[in-house]
Amino acid sequence: MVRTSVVSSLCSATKEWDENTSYEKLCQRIESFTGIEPRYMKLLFELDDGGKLQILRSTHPYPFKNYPNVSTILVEDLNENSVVNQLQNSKSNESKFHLSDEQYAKRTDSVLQWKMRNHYGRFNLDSRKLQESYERLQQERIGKLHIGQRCSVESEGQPERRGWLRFIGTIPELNDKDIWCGIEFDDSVGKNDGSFKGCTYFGPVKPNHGGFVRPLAVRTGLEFVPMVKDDQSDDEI
Amino acid sequence: MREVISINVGQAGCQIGNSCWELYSLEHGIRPDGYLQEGLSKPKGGEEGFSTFFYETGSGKYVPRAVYVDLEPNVIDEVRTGPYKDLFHPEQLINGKEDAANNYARGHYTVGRELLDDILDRIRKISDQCDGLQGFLFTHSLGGGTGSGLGSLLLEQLSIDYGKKSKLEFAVYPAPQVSTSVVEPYNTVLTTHTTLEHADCTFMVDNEAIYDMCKKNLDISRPSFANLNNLIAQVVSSVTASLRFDGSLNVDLNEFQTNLVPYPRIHFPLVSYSPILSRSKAYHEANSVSEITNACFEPGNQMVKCDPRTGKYMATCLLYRGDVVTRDVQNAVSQVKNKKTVQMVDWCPTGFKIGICYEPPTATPASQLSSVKRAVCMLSNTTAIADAWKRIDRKFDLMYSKRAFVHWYVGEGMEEGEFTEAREDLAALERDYIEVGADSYADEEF
Repeated sequence: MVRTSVVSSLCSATKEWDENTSYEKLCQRIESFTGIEPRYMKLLFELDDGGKLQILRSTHPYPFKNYPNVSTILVEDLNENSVVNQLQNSKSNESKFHLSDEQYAKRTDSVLQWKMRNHYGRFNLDSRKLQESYERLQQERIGKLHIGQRCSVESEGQPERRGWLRFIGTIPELNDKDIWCGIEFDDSVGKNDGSFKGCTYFGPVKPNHGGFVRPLAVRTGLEFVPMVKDDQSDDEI
Repeated sequence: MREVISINVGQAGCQIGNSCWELYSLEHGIRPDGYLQEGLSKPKGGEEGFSTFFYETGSGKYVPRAVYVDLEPNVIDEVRTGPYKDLFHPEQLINGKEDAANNYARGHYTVGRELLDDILDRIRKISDQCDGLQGFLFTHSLGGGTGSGLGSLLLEQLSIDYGKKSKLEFAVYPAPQVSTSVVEPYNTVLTTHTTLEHADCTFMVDNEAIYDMCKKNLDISRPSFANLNNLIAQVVSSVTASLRFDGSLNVDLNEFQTNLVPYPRIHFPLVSYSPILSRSKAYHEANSVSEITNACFEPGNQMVKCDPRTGKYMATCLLYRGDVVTRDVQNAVSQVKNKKTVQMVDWCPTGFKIGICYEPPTATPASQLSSVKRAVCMLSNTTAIADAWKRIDRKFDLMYSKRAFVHWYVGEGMEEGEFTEAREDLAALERDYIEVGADSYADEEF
């Protein structure tokens, strides 16, 4: 048995070969995981002494008999229009499968149906009322906020933080309905630089000077000047 | 008795099986030939626990309750000639002549189906030796042909033949960066669709995550499959330890399910393990219960690459092994519950379960892992694992939009409609995870 790695543009695998493997059999097996058609295959053997050479059917009908010391088989696809080369050059966000809300709602075995049957989450009347009145308050607050103004952020269990209100809107990576406020904090008390999952919503600002909070945590106004740090105020007293 | 039958399918499944049985044998004081180690009068772990995984033949020899299945002979021939060749009964090792060529359809419909009756017969014989079969433990890969195709065929059949017996899987998920075959996304999506309603709980391991652990934590510069499998075996051993050892706080297969899986489709808990330390580093670490528990929340200790800080938890199991006292565990758990990064789903009951097995983990001679006094394995049902499905679904779409290699599957008698059906099911699974994460108030800042 000869153990080699096999490397192509799309994959890299470790395989074991019988020494009597023919050139055809080798190509056939390589096709099954690289997707490259044997007639367009260019095979390069990298030997463990550092040597490198091309393998051809005419000269090497039983490649491992000649080169049992091969460590890596490099496989190229000479067909420019092959599927492998097309896949290599295309981007992954093309043609995404889409399951519509209706299609999902129709499925009987789903978390959605389970929640509906058991009155969980938004299908619980009490919690929905609570949630709705909470979202109404969020909406009302948005009306009182102004982008570009100084602001104060007060979240439960955290000391007050101040900065600039830079963004109001939804964050599609999260969901399509909730409105968020993007804050540029005066200090590094945030969680990011104004971007979320690769998408920049404001800034970019300095690392950890950006953050997203719900509107109810935010108030804007000129009075929210940068806060003096505790230790400095101690000095003044 | 609560016996568990292990079923190792395909190259990855069989090789992980090897590492697991080597480790189990060491842990229970069984020699590679199936007899007790010298100086032992009975296997370690207590009769009840031990006999869930091994049975005794008349002559004082112990045999794993396991089958090995592969379509081609090489991997299983290595078992037949390897150091553990006498541990198994020859009939437990089943192989065909022709491989699945990385093709789910060959494993599921053509080449694999020819072997099905033989395999089911063998499993029947093993199950006839059980007093109270608890269920099955599968190890297989999702990306290859045999593991995905034949693995899912077996899971389907076991549902028919054994009704509601638990079926747990350890499944090797394709590594995010490096593919070992172009059609991994197809095989993964197809097998996940087929097994979704048959497997009760699936623990995924992604080779790239394991590879990184071997490099960073164990200082292995070029990890081999043997290195990866030793580490995976350590994790499998931790999950099964509570079944194999009589102890005070045990978790059985059913309990795993009821605690970890609130809704049947959401059955892919994220596995984390700690400590993963090389022998040279182990001397410098205290490894307190609190330290190893906290380490489970570091991405470097996860078996699948994803970011649990952005997800919501439905359930968590912490399985401790070795020298741990209940009070330390209670303290560690309350620390975990107060973590800001651990957000539980708040619209349905969520679970928190502790298992303690007082037997410390064992390091096999060949593994780089140091012997430690205690370890913990965390199983958490978090929505973050949906990232793994998103990744593979996108890769599937990219290929399927060009109908790339679809003819390989159709050529084996598979209908093209199965591709779209499977893909739709996975899209619904992604939606299911979004639904789990929705309706919680907790996400107030990021």
